[in-house]
Amino acid sequence: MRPVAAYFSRIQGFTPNAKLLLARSLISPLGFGIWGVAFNIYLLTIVVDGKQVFGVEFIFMMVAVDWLVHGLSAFPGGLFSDRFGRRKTFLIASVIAILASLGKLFTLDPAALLILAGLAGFGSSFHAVTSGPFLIENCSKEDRSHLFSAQSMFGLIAVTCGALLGGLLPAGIAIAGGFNVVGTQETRMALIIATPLLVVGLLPIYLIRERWTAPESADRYPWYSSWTKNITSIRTISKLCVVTTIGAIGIGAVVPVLNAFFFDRFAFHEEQVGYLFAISSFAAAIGMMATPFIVARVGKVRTIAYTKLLAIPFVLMIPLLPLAAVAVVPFVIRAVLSDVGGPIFSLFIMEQVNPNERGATAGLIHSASEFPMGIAGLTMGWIMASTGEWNFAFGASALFTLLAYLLFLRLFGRRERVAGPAVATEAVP
Amino acid sequence: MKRKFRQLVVLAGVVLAAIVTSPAIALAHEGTEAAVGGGLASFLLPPAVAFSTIVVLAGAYFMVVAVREQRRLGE
Repeated sequence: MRPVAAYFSRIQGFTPNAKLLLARSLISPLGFGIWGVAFNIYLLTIVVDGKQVFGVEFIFMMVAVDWLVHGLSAFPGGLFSDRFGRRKTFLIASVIAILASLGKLFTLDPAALLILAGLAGFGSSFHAVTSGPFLIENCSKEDRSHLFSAQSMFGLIAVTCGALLGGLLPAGIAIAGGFNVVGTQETRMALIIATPLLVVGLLPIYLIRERWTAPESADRYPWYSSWTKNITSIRTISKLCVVTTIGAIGIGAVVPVLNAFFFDRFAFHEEQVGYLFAISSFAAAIGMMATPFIVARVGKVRTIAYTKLLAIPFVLMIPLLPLAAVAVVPFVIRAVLSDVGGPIFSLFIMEQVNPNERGATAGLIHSASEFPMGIAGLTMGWIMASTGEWNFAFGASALFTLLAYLLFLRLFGRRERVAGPAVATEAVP
Repeated sequence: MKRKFRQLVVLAGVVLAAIVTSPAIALAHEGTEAAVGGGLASFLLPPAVAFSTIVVLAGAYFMVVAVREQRRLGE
């Protein structure tokens, strides 16, 4: 157990700001995890005059609006955080996301619900693009891999617990009340239970101490052009965006349809798919603990590329195995290998650019990932619906992942010098 | 370092094996819808609540420690 103890003792040595961000990574995603699942059940259980008010199509529409606004506002969110500081951006984004989520409980108007879903997406995107820059600015060079992996691990565990509770709490409340069916009251109660968690999640961000100075360009250029003047590492950012886009097509080709695959091929029950995804998320979170140790051995670039490339055979195995009990094994291993390098990729991106362009870079990378992922998911869904062929989606995912990470190795492999167990990765001018 | 890395790989392997085999065992025993639906939900709720409580307490712990350190550092 020594490596696990060493990992946690390393966490003890983080700066107070990094610890506050870890606290937020545990509390807030738990609340949002409950909200994400329980709110969908709440909408589906609303009945007026004997008629169901919202169907699954409306939930998909809300998710699509949230995703679209999230992708569109990522770059402006990054620019905002570069200009006004990470803490301010975090606070504003969190308050918007919480108010938008709570607001959804007070209306049944479809247009209002869609606007609130968009606002929630806006808040979450500002938050997502600020996290990476904030983490790197609040830890020593030696602690970076540990902090990025710990933050991802805590967030993944908390959001999975939240999603499980979001599904189980309404059922538990219904059973406790002696009902056989989950109704609007039970889901509303679960949402009310989760609300304090959302509010408490704001506290660590409020407690963060930041001395932020606006970049020089803010005074030197007019307001409308000063925002983008910080971005100087265009070539590096473009290369990272190309790799991210190709990799995102690989993820989007198969991840959104994985649940449908288990429904279709193995006749899984809804709950079984939910538990399988929860187990794979927990496994991935545990796998992330190993990330700093792998980075220390082989370096960041190779950790990112090798884990993604190692996942490819398992992606190809999933549709070829005839038994459910056997197919879940490569599914879980794929999830672990795909996610292990994620936090280190974020760290690597942050290390390749200058401090004043970190937010903007995170925003661009976020957009370069979200849109291709969504488009690949839609395209594969359409191909699946028209042909009924699963192997194509898994094959396309494997091919794009292979292309993306071979290209990543080619473009960035030489930049990294591995000297013994310690690795030095720095921005190259 | 080499020994630590080897220990970690063994530990990760054991944990992964346990995690990977558990859904397989659960699926092998899958039976009626009731076993998977309401029955399993009420069975899983207490550990899910317990685990979530641990997550929240861990978050609170980090927050308290961070505030104490901020005070000690005079920030």
